[in-house]
Order: sequence, then C-alpha cells, then structure tokens
Amino acid sequence: MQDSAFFDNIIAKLRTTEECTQVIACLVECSVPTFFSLTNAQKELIFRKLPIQTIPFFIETFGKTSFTAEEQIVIKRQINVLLDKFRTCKSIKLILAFRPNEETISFFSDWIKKNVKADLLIDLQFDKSIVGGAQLIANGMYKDYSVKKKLADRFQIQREEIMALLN
Amino acid sequence: MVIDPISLIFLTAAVTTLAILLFFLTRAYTHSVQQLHQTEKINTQLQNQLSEKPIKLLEHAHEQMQEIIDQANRKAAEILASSKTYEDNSSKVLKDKLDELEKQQAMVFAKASDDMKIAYQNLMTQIQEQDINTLKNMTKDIETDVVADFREFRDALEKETINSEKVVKEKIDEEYLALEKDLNEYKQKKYQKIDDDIYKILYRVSEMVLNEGISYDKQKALVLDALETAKKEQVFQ
Repeated sequence: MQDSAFFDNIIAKLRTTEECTQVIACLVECSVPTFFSLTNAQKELIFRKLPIQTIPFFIETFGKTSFTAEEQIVIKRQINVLLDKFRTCKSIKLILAFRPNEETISFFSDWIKKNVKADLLIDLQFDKSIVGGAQLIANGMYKDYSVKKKLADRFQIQREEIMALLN
Repeated sequence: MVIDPISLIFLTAAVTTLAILLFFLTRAYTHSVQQLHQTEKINTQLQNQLSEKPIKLLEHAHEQMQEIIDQANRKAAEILASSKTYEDNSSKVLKDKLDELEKQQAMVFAKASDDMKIAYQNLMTQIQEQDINTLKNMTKDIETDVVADFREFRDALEKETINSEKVVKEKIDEEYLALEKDLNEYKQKKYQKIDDDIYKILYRVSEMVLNEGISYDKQKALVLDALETAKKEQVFQ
C-alpha cells in the first residue's frame, strides 16, 4: 500500500469533516494488532462505518485475509502516517439553514474542491435561524452571507420608513 | 630772796579778793541753813495739821448726812401720803374721761362709717358709670377695630387669593409642562417599544415566511451564491 496514493484517493472522496472523522476512527481500528486476525465479515462490519464512497479503497487495502508480520508492521506505520494527514486536514465551516441531502453535500464539496482546494473538507453545521444562505468560517475568518443578516440590514435601513408608515 | 613789789601787790590783791569771796560764801551758806531749818519746821506743823483735819471733816459729814436722810424720810412720807389721795382722785377722773372718750369715739366712728358708706356708694356709682362708659367706648373701639381688621383681612384675603391663583396657575403650568414632558417621554418610549416590537415582529414574520417559503433549490442556490461571494471576496485565500 502506498500511503500517499491511499490518502489522495480517500481525500478526493471525502466531503465533510464528519466523514473524515469516520475514516480516522476506522484507521485506528485497522491499526490494532488484532485487526489482522479478523475475518472478512468482521472487517466488513468495521468498514460499514465508513463513508460509502471510501469503502472500496479500504476493502482493497485492508481486506486481505492474511498479513505477514512484516506487512503488519509496514501497514501499521503507514496507518500512523495517514492518521496524521487526516487529522491535519483543512476544512471550511459552513453553517446552513437547511439540512442538505447527500447529493447537495456532494455538490457543495465538489464546488469547493474545484474552486478552492482539492483536499478541503466541509465542516457542516445547521442553524435554522439564519433563514437562508450561509455563514462560513475559513482561514479563521468569519463571513455572514445569510438571509438573516440581509434581512437585518434591510430592516435597519427601512426601519424609519416603516415607523413613519405606521405613525 | 627778793620779791617783786608788783607781784606782791598783785598777790595781796588776789588774797584780799579771795578772802572777801570766802566771807560772802560763808554768809550765804549760813543763811541757807537757817531757811532750811525753818522750812522743816513748817513742814512738820503742816503734817500735824493734815493728820488732824480728815477726822473732823468725816465727823461733820456724818452729821450732815444723818440730817439729810431724816429730811428725805420725812419728805418721802409726805409724798406717799399725798400720792395715795391723788391716785384715788385721778382714777375716778380717768375713768370718767375714758367713758366720755369712748362715747365720743363711738360717735366719731359711727359718723365716719356713715360718711364712708356714702362715699363708697358714690364711688361705686361713679365707677359703675365709668365702667358703663368704658364698656361703651370699648364696644365702639372693638367695633372699629373689628371693622378695620375685617377690611384688612378681606384685602389680605383678596391679595392672597390673587397670589394663590397666580401660584396655582404657575404650578398648573409647571405640572402641565412636566406632564407634557413625561407624556412625550412616555410616547417616545412607547414609540421605541413599538418600533422595536414591530421590528422584531416583522423580522420574525419574515423569518417564518421565508423559512417556510424558501424552497430547497432556492436554499441550495443561496448557499452557492454565498460561496461564490466568498470566493470573490477572497475569503478562501
């Protein structure tokens, strides 16, 4: 297994930080010595916890039934390297007013990977009060592009006009 | 030895003088002794006379004293006898005089009492008249004073009423202004509250309407717009 190729494949398929956390959890389980003695069925149970688009890569890499002692040592070292990489993955926090489906998550992730950076993940959060649009935090910078803010700005501007109309 | 005749003369003269002087001195001494002797003699006689004379004088004085005492006793007896008679007479006369004096005094007192009674009655009448006059005057004075006071009071009351009206008017004006100010403040607060409430209500309504009204595709499009805007604003750099 080439750890960099594995990482590139996985990160290309990962969309959110939540998925990344699942991958990290799975890798931790794979690094345990007893993992190599598990049956395929048992390994499948572990892989099912992964994001679906990454499962084939895990089966291909860790699905073998028998590992020599040397292979186990190499794999364990590679897993540690991967864990470090996944743990240091960069992300953008995106606060939305609705709960996006998988297709929409993929759509946003593709847009980000295409327009910003290929290994950038989305840290998705849900807040109905923002009405629409999004609030995002990237590179330590907060930006509010929500409908709530637009409404507030709008109401602030037209407040006096509304009061005049009411009076 | 030869003696100078002048010295001899002078010596003789001196002896003669001394002899003369001695003679006179002796004579004077003899005369003085005689005078002393005579004086002692007279002195002795006088002492004898003096020792005999007091006894005679005392005897003579005793005699005279006895005589005087006898005379005094006789006079005293006479005086006592005459004084008893006089005492009886004078007691009777005194009693009569006292009776007469008592009667006179009683009469004088009765007359004085009558006079005083009349004088008192006159005085009372006079005082009564004076009192009546005084009362009349007092009534008049009181009436005058009361009328004057009443006028003064009425003037003061009118003045006070006018002042009070002014004060009340000023107070009312102040209260009115304060009330108007409070009312304006209250209105402003209410307006502010209405303003805030309306703002909140409208904002909330807008949120609710928009939450319900924004479609899924629209939500998706809004997020995409947000991402595009962020890219333009170089938030991802």
